[in-house]
Amino acid sequence: MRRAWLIACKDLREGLGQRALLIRIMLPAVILPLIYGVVTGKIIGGADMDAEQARFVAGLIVVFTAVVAVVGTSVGGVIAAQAIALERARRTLESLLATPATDREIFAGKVLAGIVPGVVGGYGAGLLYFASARLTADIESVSTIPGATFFLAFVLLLLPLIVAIEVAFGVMISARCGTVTGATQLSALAAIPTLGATLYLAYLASHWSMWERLLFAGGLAALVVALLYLGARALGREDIIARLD
Amino acid sequence: MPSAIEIKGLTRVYRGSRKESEIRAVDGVDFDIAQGEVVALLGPNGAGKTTLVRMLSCLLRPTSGSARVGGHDLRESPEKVRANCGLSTEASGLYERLTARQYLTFFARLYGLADGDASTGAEKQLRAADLWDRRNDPLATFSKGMRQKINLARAVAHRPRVVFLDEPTSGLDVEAAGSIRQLILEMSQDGETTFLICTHNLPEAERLCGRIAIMRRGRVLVSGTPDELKRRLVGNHVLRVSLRKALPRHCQAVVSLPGVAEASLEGNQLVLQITADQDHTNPQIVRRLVESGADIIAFVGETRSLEDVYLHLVRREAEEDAMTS
Repeated sequence: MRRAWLIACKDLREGLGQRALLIRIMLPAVILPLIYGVVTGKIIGGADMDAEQARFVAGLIVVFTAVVAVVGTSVGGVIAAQAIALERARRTLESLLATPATDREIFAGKVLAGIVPGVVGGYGAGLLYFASARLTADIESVSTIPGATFFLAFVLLLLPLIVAIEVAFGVMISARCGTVTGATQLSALAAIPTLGATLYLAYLASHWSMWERLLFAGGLAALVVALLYLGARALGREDIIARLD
Repeated sequence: MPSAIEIKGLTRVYRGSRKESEIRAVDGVDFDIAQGEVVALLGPNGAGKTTLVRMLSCLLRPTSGSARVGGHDLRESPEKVRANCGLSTEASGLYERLTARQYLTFFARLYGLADGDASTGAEKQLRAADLWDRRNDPLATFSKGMRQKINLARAVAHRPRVVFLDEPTSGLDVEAAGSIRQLILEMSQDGETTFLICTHNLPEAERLCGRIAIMRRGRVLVSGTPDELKRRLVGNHVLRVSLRKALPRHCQAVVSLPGVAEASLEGNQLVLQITADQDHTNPQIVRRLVESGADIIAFVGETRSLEDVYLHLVRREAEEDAMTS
């Protein structure tokens, strides 16, 4: 795994050097959580809510949390989508593929390089959301709203797995796409239903038993492992080289 | 000397959507390169040079045939083959945001060198390439010549047994190309590293390489030292003898002499291809011509170049193609 780690560190160094791209990705990941946090705080605002109002606010928090998670994790998704397509465009891929690094190591390195900023972005956006909500209202009030607390905690817990799924899809698409723009757009398209389904199931999980929740988390983990395995197998070193000319 | 590269019947077929659109990029190549040899692979665009190099560096799988590089089989242990090879291609890009030192260290570590060795290797190559002063500059700030030097340094920083260079001086100005050639010459001095250089630059091939192989349509047509190829195909020298009136009998008089490969008439000029030592052959030619009644006006000798060999082969192949079609 040393080579995978080396590739990930190199990609991170290269990715973090793309200031224009980072600003474009980071802006919504910072601004949206702040706005949603303030809005959440204002709505909760220590007001006494009846059951119907509490249900509405809970729904709002769930939606906001989902959006914040998606925006935060998309940092990893964008880096993953560029992983191979950008190397192909810059003609650096042949040198990388000519090293003794195996397909598995290259794929793992690329995924790792997306997971790190994705997880940091996801938790960072979550932190901003809570901090801004806390500053504008008593966050303790959230615990009185049914469903919201569990969903928040569950999404935070599953965040690394959600990011890993999004990033693995991104790298797989990146390996098959001819252009960087195409890879970014396609992986965003692929991420939306995946994330939507995952978050929806996480929301439903508030009504499940502990075993069902564990089974769901285990299923997500198994999906990550399967994607890593299949992604490495389908990296297609030959196809990538054939499409270089 | 043991073989660094052994190729047996190596073939690569690119299949199109229809069966008739099948392209044999490399077609049954048999070729051996000894350890420490510096070999040039010449050929027109589309001859199969790059595909051959990509197969030998395990970037592409052969359709059939086999090869061993650095003692390892391409199919059985591709990782080991790659670990023993260095590859620098014509238009290799660089990781622009890394510094020269970070770039070389990254690749050396990727090739399995320990951190300390990778750092030492990078320093050695940067000094050899005269880029030590720029070691901490991002590669985005490097000129084309400097980038090519970094590419070369990357290909050899892990001390591979075999180095593949594809068009190492393509698109460079005279000075930059000269310094890259000098760098390759210095690298090949150790006598242990094997170089296979694909190039269109014939004088460069003649200067850098001990052996030349010429490819066309996926096949290696000939290989040998530059002198061997000249002697075998076009003669080492050409003699142009201007006569007052050149006649066929003058041709016949000299063509049977040992060392004269071919004799032809171009107006009043007799053109002779010489494969032997001139000191020995020239007096005999003059004597024969005088005996056959020729009036010699001038006598000019020309040395054959690799370009003559190359053009001769390409024309011969084109003629054969025309005849078969």
